Amino acid sequence: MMKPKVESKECIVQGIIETQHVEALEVLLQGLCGVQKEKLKVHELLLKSGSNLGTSSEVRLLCSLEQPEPVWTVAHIGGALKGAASDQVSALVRNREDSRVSSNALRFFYALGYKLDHELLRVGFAFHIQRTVRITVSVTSVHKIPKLHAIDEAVPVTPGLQLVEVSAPSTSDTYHEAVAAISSFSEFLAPLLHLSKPGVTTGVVSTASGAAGSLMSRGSSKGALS
Amino acid sequence: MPVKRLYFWQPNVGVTLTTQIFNLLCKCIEDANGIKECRLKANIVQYRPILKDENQRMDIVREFLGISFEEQPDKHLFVIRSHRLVMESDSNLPSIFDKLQSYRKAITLNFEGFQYKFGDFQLKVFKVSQSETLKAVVMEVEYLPVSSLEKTRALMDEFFEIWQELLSSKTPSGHIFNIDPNFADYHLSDHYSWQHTAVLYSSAMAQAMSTRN
Repeated sequence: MMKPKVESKECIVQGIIETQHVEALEVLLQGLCGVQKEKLKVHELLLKSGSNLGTSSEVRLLCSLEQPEPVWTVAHIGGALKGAASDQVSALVRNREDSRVSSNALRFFYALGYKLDHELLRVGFAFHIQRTVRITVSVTSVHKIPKLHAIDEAVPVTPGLQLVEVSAPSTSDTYHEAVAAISSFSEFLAPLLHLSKPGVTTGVVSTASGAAGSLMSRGSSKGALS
Repeated sequence: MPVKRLYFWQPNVGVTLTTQIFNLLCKCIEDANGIKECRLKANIVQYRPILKDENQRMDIVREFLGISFEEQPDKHLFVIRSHRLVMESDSNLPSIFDKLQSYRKAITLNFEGFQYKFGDFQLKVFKVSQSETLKAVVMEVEYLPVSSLEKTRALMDEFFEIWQELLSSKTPSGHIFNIDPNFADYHLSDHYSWQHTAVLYSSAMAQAMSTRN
């Protein structure tokens, strides 16, 4: 049976956390989600269409390196909600569609006239939890890659800080529900970090050290936090 | 995945292709006790680049093909014949290409026909049409027990010869030939896969489009 065509979207908030507090965040997330973390190591390549090719467009090729065999995905991240509609929601809502592809996808897109704009490596972990929607919390260190595809030589862009993203999939009709779910979940993380729309400047939170210390001294605390 | 071959019906010069040969192929299979199982479809779309300046020399492909098979609804295959490249994806990658607007759908070939069980073989007979125009008739032969191209080569060659002889005795209006791409050029292994099938069908499309009907 062919899947019905729907406009797929992604709702996302993000924040930063000091690397020294990541372990505490992991303890917190373990308690909230009740599942094992998923390790992340993703080589991300941003490809842009050549100058003579149609409307300017870009795709991301994501190569997940944590599995025994690399898993490749094409991700198209499109326009975000703007104006009044955007003002009404506390998360970024943007078009997003992913498709698994075979490992020769980069050669394929090069043949189509796409060029590599930049590449980076994201290393960290993610937790998934089912609320009204499936929420993903990822904690990653973003690495720049100094030479073409030299992921073994990747270095963190900000060594002392890591990026936290809380996201959920939705459609054009259901994004309010997804935004509400991730906003609600984000409140649990408030002692350690502040999450907001990407592009809205936030810093580390002043309560982070205290909260991290408390979490680490209690160890894994599933019951107290769920 | 079982090994497949694809036979292409080539009408003689001056003979117009009609659905008669499709009906004849189906009848031959049924007369030989092949069991009709279901209707089946497939689809090949030729994509061409949308260029801002048609005159500017571009180091990009002139076209690529997107192929879907009804029996594999979660999968889509793409072939760039000029680069000997075949890529597999989830079924929604065409939707992403629609959004990118860097390539447009230029030609669509629809494959419609029947699937038959024939002993250890599964046969499919397709009418290949571009809009309402019949462009080709093809027959897919799948040998179910084995996935190795090398191990099945002799048997599949023999099966082809049998069908070639049978059809030549039924009609003088043309003949079948075996579409036989060099899978090694596409870096495909001896173990048969959907990527091999995509290469077969892309060759069939090239043949169909080069035939004047």
